[in-house]
Amino acid sequence: MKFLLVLFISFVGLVSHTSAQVARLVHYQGMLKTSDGSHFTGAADLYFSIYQRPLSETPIWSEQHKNVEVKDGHYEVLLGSQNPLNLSFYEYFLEVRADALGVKGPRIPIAGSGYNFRLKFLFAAYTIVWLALFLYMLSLARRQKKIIAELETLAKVRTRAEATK
Amino acid sequence: MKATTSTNRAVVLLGGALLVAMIINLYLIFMLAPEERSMGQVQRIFYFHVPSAWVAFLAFFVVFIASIFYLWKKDRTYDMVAYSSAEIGVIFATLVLITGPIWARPVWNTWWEWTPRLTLFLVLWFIYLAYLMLRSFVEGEERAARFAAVFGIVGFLDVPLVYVSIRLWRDIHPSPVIAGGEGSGLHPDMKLAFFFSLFTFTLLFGFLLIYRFQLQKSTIAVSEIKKQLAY
Repeated sequence: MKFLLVLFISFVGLVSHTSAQVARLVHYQGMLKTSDGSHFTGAADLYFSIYQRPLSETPIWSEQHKNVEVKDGHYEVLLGSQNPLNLSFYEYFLEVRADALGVKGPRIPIAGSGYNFRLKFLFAAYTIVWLALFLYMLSLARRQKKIIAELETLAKVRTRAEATK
Repeated sequence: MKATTSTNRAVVLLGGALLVAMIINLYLIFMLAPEERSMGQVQRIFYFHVPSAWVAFLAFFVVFIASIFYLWKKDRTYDMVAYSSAEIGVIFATLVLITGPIWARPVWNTWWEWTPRLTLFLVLWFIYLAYLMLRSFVEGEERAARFAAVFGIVGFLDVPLVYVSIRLWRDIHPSPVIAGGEGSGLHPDMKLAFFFSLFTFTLLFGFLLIYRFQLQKSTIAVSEIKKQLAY
């Protein structure tokens, strides 16, 4: 029984350890256009902000990326690399600004890699599964123990009955 | 006595193989399998959710076959196999019903939808729950076994329905990724983790079935001795 307990704790520990190791970073790729609509090429300072609502005034997280390389409008950054992202990720909206170019993008809902933050669901699922299997095995072991005890008692009763005969 | 010793040896061997397989399985799921592009880390529930469903189906298939054999041969062993397998099947079906909504919440933004596949699976769970209740409530061991065998055969009809439901009626539940036709498929490392997970869960089923069957055999032996002593 102790073996089962150790096994269960090891599995839960392994899963939580793996979950904890995942970096809280979001890989973000975007398109930067100048105010006249043409694709920008060069280095740009970009400001990223996350809002809880599409029209909220105060961001719940923001970060600045300086000298981001932009080629034909395409750029990529790792959000959370400057300012840690400690959000639970449900419905959030990202806004990107390039003040020097005088452009601001629309607030877009975060999807895709943002799901990485839903590790608690993964952890919950694995814990429940291992817990259920562990409890089932435990119940089988207990039932077996009870039956063995019952068999021993019955054997004694039978021997006693045969002796009285 | 010889049979018991060899069964015990099988349980120990299977248990050892299972432990090794589980450790390898965890490595494949959490280290080797890449992160899914649109769902991210939470998609790893897949490696547990689908094999649980597979074991539930396998267990109910064993109930179906063993029930047919019981009604045909009237051998108590088949009934014990069916009963043991039904209990394990219900455990794994419960795990499917728990892990499914946990996966659905972050991905579909809902815990549950009354779609054909989900509803039919819930019905399947109720069928085998009723099977277990029937065994406890019907008076007379042989009568209960006979009723349960008929129930086990009829109840199995829902299994192919659950399986084909996703092909017949498109709903929120994803299409099959294995043999699901055009556009389906898995990354080779995901495929390895998935099939190894299926293998591990099948081993787990085998281990639990032998263990549960032995327990059922001992329970019946106890009740037989009690009957003998009463006379």
